[in-house]
Amino acid sequence: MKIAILVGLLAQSALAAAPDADLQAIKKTLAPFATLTGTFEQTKKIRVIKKPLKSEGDFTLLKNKGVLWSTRKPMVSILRVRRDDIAQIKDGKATVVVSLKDQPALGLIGKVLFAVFSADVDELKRHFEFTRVTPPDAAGHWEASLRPRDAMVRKVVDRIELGGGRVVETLTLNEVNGDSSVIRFKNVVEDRPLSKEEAKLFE
Amino acid sequence: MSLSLALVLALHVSRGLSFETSLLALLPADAQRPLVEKAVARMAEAGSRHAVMLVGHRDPAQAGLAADAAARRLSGQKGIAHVLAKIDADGAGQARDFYFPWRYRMLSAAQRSRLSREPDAALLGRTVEQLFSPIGPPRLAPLESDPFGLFSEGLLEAAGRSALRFADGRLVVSQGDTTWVVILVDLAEDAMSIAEQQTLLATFDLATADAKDAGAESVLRAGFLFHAAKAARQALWEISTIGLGSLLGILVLMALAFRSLKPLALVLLPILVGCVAALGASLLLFEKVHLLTLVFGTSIIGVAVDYGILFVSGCTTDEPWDAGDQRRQILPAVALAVVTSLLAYAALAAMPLPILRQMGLFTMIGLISAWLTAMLWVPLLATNMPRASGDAVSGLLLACRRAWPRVESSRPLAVALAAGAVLSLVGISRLRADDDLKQLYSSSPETVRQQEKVQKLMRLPSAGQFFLVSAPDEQALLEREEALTDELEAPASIAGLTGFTAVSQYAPSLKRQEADAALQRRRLYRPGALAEKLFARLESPEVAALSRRQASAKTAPLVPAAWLDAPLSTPFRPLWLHEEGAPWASVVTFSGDLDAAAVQRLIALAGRHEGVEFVDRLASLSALMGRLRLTISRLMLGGYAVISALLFLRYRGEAWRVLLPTVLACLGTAGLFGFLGLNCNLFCVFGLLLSLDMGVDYGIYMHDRGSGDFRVALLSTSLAAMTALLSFGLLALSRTPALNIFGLTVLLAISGSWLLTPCFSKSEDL
Repeated sequence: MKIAILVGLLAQSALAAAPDADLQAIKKTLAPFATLTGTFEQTKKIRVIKKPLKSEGDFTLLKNKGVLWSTRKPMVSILRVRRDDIAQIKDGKATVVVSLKDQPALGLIGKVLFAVFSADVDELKRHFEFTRVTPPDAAGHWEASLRPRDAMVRKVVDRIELGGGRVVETLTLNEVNGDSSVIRFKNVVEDRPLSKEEAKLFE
Repeated sequence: MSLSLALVLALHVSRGLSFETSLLALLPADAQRPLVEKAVARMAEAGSRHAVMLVGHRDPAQAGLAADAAARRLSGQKGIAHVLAKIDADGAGQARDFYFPWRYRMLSAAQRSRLSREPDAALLGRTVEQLFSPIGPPRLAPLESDPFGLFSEGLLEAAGRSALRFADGRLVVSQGDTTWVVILVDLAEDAMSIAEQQTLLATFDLATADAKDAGAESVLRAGFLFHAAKAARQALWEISTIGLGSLLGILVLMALAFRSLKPLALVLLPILVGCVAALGASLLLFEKVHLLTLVFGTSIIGVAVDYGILFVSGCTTDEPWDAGDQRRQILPAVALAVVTSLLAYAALAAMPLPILRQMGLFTMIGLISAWLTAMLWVPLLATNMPRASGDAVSGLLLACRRAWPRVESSRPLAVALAAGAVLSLVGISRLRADDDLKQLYSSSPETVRQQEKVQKLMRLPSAGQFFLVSAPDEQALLEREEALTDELEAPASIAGLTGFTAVSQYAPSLKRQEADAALQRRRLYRPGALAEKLFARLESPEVAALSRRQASAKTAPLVPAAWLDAPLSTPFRPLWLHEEGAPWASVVTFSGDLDAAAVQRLIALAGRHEGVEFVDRLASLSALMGRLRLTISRLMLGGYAVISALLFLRYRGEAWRVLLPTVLACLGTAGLFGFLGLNCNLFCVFGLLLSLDMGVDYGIYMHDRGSGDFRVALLSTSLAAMTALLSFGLLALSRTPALNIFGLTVLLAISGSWLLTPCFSKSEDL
């Protein structure tokens, strides 16, 4: 109990010590872009499964539109995440799988990525408390720790750690049940022109 | 008698007058269908005891702070039982913990169809994809307890049905960029007096101001309280304006006509007694007197004033004044007048709608008391009357009257009137009926706008429209609900339908639970089924046994009683109508923006299912209003027949002189409404019925004055018409559409009768 109170107080003070100035500093560091493309690698640890689940693929982000997630290994799957829905892309056609208006918890990670790549601090603040913010150092590297606001999400997600420079480099998702995922972003390119097919998927 | 009623009134005043302000309280009970009645009562009770405040801001934290400020103002105030702005118990966790033991017995409609149709490869592929994907759905249970994520998905889907979310220990709804924090307020149960209601409204106004001071960008409120309080404020204002306005006008008129205090006092006495008696008796007769009754009742003034006027106008003549003589002289005419008025209001009192019954009885009691006072009491006081001089006024009237055109001597007038009558008939053919119950309703547009916005944001069920399901036993009831909701769930079943709520969504029938459990066993957990394949794929085959053990453990079925006992069912309990000894019944509500066609489809849907009834409270009440309008219309035609017969018996060949002015005035009024596009409703027709009665009275007073002086008849009729115009004309200012159209009808029809009556008089009158 005492520990819980202590942790609570710490969280409070951390929150108090995470002024908007630090967030704004991170926001300034983040790259202004129209599109971002790159690759990702995910390592997911699930408690009862001995071997971590590894997957990789690439992503395309179009400012104000959405993110295209293409998992290449171990299976091929393309998802498009927009502000209000998640769609599955098959043979160049999008089928909406979930409407996020009804089920905000479902698209959380997609939303986080979209918001953080878009430097949309306000959107992040809508869904998370910043419990820890380390403003950019001399090399421009920053870190932040986020706690979800929605109680339903909080049943699943304990916290999300972000780290990066001009773009986000790592995202760690710690789940309440002890599972965790680490996503690393690499080869991120700003403003690569989109192919016609890619652009069409965002319409 | 009057004294005792005055005492009753005094007693009530001393206890603090309490009037009914909610319209719902005065609508008819559906005696033939007690279940519908019970369902409506349960829903209304749930609605009337709560109020909702939404405090919005783009920043959820700011919205929270502003909501806290409002909640601080509200808590502990008189009339407020409980304020819920923060949620300690975490609703999301509650649902997960409650349903966890039953996870293998429940499936959503989409999951059921997926498990029964999709091949193994597709089901497995989807699960693996979700597990590997960085943006897969969240899992609310450990992998071994819910390997295919069905439990998590079901819970999230259920949570998604409500617009409400839990965030930062608060309930919130959001739209676009704005997050609103929801404050739920339980009101104290005791009946509220108007004063208490206004105090409560003021408290909410302060809370709104506090929230705005604390930075809230938008504050919305919803609840019966706000409508009732606004309507009450409006009604009180109207009662005082119309009542005082009429009295003041009468005072001025009397002062001008009689230039003496005593006749004035004698005219006011019957009105006073009538109003006091009506109020006192109604408080005795009815559990609650509605404020609308009082607004409507102000018309007593306009009718009752005639009795006194007719009596005292005699003292303006040169002949020696004798109270007894005067009474004898006017008695036949005044008796006929009061009987016809009473008949008109009795028609209203006989209606099966409590509010109309109350209005009718209230006015009848007032008129009888006023009439008795004028006939029995006033003559006793009317000794030693001063020689009041009405000469100036009656002289002026007489001059006007001499110049007034008469049908028999003016051909153009006769032609114009005939043309007017034909035109009126054309107008009448254009009249459209509008029996919407909202006619009786005067909430401010802003209150209505906020209510609608809150309803939309929180996706609250449509007011007064729902499915009523009944069955011989509990399981059959759940099965019937499921048969109905399966159709509602079908994609694009009804345009505009955004959701529905039924107990069987939260506690399915045993049949469905068994079927869902069997389906999961067959496809997922039996040896060699998908669970084994999944864990083999994840290179941890030993987990499959663990998972199968959990899935095959014996679980008692989920019964509604268990769910109803759990805190998470609180908002849904009004849906379950079961009571000892009563039939099994429940309500299925729905929300959305439904047009008439969609509602028709819902009605048809209910028709296809056994034990399901579509209840549309507003529509059935509006239909009732329509039937009542027809009844009153028939009564009006019957009234014309009876009055024509009576007039013929007394006046023979001269009866048309009494009848025609009113007939033409009523036709003209209805015709004008037709041309102006005003809708005809119950109150419009009733106004015409009352105008028939009062208009004919003027004809009678003018025509049948015994041996009395013509100037007296002219003076009293004119004064009577003027006062009626005053009180009904003021009623036309009412913001309640029903009263407004009633006042307007009587105003037009009576002024018409009054202006036309001289046109039909005999030449020797002059």
